[in-house]
Amino acid sequence: MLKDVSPKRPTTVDDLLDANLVAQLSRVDLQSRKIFRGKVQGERRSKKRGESVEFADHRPYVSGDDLRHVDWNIYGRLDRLFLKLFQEEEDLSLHIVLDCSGSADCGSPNKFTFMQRAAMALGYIGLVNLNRVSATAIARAEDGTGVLTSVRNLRGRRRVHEMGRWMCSLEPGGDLPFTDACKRIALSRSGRGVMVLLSDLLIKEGYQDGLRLLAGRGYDLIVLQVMSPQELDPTVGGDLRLRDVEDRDHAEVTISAPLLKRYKKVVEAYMREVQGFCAAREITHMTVRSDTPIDTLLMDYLRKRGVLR
Amino acid sequence: MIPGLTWLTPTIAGIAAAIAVPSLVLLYFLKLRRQDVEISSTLLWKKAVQDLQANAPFQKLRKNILLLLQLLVLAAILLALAQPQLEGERAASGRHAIVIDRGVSMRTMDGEDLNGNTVSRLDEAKRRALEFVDTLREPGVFGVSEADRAMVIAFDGTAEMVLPLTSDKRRLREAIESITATDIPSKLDEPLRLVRAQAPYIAAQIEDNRDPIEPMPGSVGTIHIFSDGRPEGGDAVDLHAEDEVSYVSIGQAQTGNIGITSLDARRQLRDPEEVSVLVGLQSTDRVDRAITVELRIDGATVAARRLSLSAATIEQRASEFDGPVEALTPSVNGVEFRVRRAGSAVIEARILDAATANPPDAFDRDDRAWVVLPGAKRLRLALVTYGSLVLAEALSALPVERVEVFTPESFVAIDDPFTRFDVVVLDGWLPPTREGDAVGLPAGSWLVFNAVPRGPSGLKDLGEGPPTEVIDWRRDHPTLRGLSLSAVRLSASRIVEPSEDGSATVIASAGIGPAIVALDSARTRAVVVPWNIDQSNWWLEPSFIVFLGQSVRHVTDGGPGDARLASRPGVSRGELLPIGVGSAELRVPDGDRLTVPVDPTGQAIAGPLREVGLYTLAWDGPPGPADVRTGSRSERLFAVNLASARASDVTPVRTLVIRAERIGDSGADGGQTRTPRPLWPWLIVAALFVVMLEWYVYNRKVQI
Repeated sequence: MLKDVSPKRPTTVDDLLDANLVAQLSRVDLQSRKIFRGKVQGERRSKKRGESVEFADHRPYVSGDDLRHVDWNIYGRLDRLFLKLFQEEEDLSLHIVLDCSGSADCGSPNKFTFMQRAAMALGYIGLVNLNRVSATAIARAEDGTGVLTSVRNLRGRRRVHEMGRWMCSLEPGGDLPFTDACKRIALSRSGRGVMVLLSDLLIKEGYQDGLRLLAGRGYDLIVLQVMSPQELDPTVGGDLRLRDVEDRDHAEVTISAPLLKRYKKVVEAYMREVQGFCAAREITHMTVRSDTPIDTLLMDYLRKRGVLR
Repeated sequence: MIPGLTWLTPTIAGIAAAIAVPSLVLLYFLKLRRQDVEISSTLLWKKAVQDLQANAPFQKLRKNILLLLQLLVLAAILLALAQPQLEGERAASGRHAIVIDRGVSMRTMDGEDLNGNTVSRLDEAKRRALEFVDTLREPGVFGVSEADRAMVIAFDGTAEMVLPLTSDKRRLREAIESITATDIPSKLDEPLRLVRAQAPYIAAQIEDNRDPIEPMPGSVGTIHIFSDGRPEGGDAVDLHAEDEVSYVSIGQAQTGNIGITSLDARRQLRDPEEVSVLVGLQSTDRVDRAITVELRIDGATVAARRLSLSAATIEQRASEFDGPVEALTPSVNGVEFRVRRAGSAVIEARILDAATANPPDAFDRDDRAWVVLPGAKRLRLALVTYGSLVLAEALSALPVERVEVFTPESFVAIDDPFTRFDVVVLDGWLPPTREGDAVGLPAGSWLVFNAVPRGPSGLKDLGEGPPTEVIDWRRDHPTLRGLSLSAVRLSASRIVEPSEDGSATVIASAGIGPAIVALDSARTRAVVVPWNIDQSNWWLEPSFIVFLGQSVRHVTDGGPGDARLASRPGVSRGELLPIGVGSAELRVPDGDRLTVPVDPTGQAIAGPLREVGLYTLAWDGPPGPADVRTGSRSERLFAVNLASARASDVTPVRTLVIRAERIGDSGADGGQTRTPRPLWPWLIVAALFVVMLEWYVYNRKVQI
């Protein structure tokens, strides 16, 4: 919950992904509940019947069809021409949105560092599985907009380092015009794909409009709400002036047991509210503590939720 | 309300509370120092606080432990400011008189200190009195409430104001500690009079208010008597109706004592060298006792006698007030020693095994007694007369060495008669005087009959008087002690008038004026009977011979013969020293030396004598007939013995009778007052503790 004065930031890809994790990540791939059409042929099953080796169906031959796809064995048996339809395999568009606001740079372990590592791991999975990977850092930019910086359409293992450098270059701070950021992302993305939002969703202007924008236009939205352990179970006490790192707003509190109890109830209610909102819009929502190991997050939580396979 | 809890300064505490409590609460919220903490978002906190405030408006105040602790600290300090104290029943008055018996019976070793060791009754009484002082109410910190005040009076035969009324407990303790025991039997009237004399004068309210209001002595408060109940008296003092008396009885009821109640030594009339010593003994022990009485002469043991004393008789008597009480009748016994002693001697009788007895004798002041026996020397008298048969016969009946009879003419021929005679008796004639013989007689010891020594300090002769009779006489004068002159009739009298400078003392008066006069000057001592004995019936009375004997002894400074009378402790002793002695030194038994003034008549007054034992009066100058010459100094010994049946009975009395009212033992609490325990120090400690707790809580609470 509290702002870390001098958090230790990752500076290289190795800081973000250690060797063991890389080994584990090599065995998984992204999975979407929706099947989308990619731009180029990839390793993802497409709705389209295509040219892969995986049989999908038969259909009667019509004039003009490629004779190479005629099933001659059936012609021999039935004396009718049928075409063999094969499953088309396409690439997947993965868009990672990273909350880079001041509130993310809090907690112990630092929420932003956790988000960086999670985002990098997801990006790695996407890259090595030949998906198109884009990433956007959201926070108030100098021009007042919500998008700070982004990388787009990376593909292939060779782009891992590029993504890593971008990830390491991020410096969290400032507030987050969330709706504006989401609107810009929604407008800028093309096609369909999987979008992963990593944020604490502690957004005073409200998260609902932003998520609504992101969830539209056929994207499979996965929200990883990252919370620090201190936010979920505060250990502060006494007469305090709590100051918001983003907008410098303050709250004078005398922390007592009833207040702590009440706070925890408020947090739980907030989580439920976000969860309910996401469920109603087919958004996958997960609350993740920043002290969760990355491999547990990926191999366990995200697999169970069907985000990875 | 807690029973027995009182507040010394509740008003101050109330005012302070009215100001401080609201101020603290106000300041707490106004000046609450909150620590700045940066957090990720205030979104959820604000929501939580709003929820909480919406649920309970006073939650903040109610659940704030720091404020609660601060209020507790303040409450403890305010309560301390009110100076609460727990106390029991106490006398209404804030004035107390602590009256401590320091008489001889308080030397009895049957008291107990806090460790259970045996101490004297006086020590126990002092301890109990100190405990009582501890219970006195002290002034409030701000001097708002009135403190108890007490005076300390010590008494034996007389009373002494050791410390006037004060609330200074330190001085009270010092005063009590300073009291030491004496050998004087106690009397209760004296201290009570002294206490009453300290009573404040209060303007009495008179119903008819036209009369001026006259101040009257009011109540002195509570009189706390720490005694074993042995003092005499108590009925002669009028206490104020509001005076309260508390009696703290000291001493063990079972304490018995064996003591010497009398000691006398007499020379046999026919054989003056044979001395008979009589020792009277008394036992108040509850068991039969066998003791050894030792006789010492001049420090050397000459005899010892074993004798038994039966147990004291104890009767149960019904008392109207106290139910059955024990009445103790001591058993008595005596022993006589016969020794031969020509010269003067100091005879001492002592009970040998009193201290080693079982149970030991708790009271030792009566285990020894002394008597001073002058030498067996007899007096030489000269009678100067024209031929009085009565005087010649009467003087010859006295136990004197010789009586020589002279005519005035033959007497005048004697050069310095006092080298040959101790006393000269003049009958109807006076020797010629020189310049400076103020009393009308030359230097020496004289008995004068039928003549009037005239001089500036002597008598004036106003001529013959009518027949008369002796109507008054001083029974305390050594010459007339034990005599009655009521039957003396004078057929012819002499009218004389004593001078006013004090040399002449009228010791017997007739209808027409002085009948017998004692003349004492620096060099002359005389007893004058100015009328003719032959013309009265006195010479037919036995009192005449006794008067002659006592007069001879008086003018010779006591003279030799029987044992010098021992004094009782507490009295002053007057000793007539030889003519011309200016001052004397008194050596008391404990070794101190005091200077005793001697008046021009040779009278030295020593005392009051506080200790039993042997006293020595020493002076530079010639010794009297019974005195001892040591180098250039003369010495006279006399003894002070307790020698009293009442004083030897040290059984404590549990009930005092004062003003015909019986005062029982107030018990262990020292008289109605229990210790008031001031609670404010504990409250301050509690406040400190809560401050520490608050600090701890504060440090525990502000966790980041």
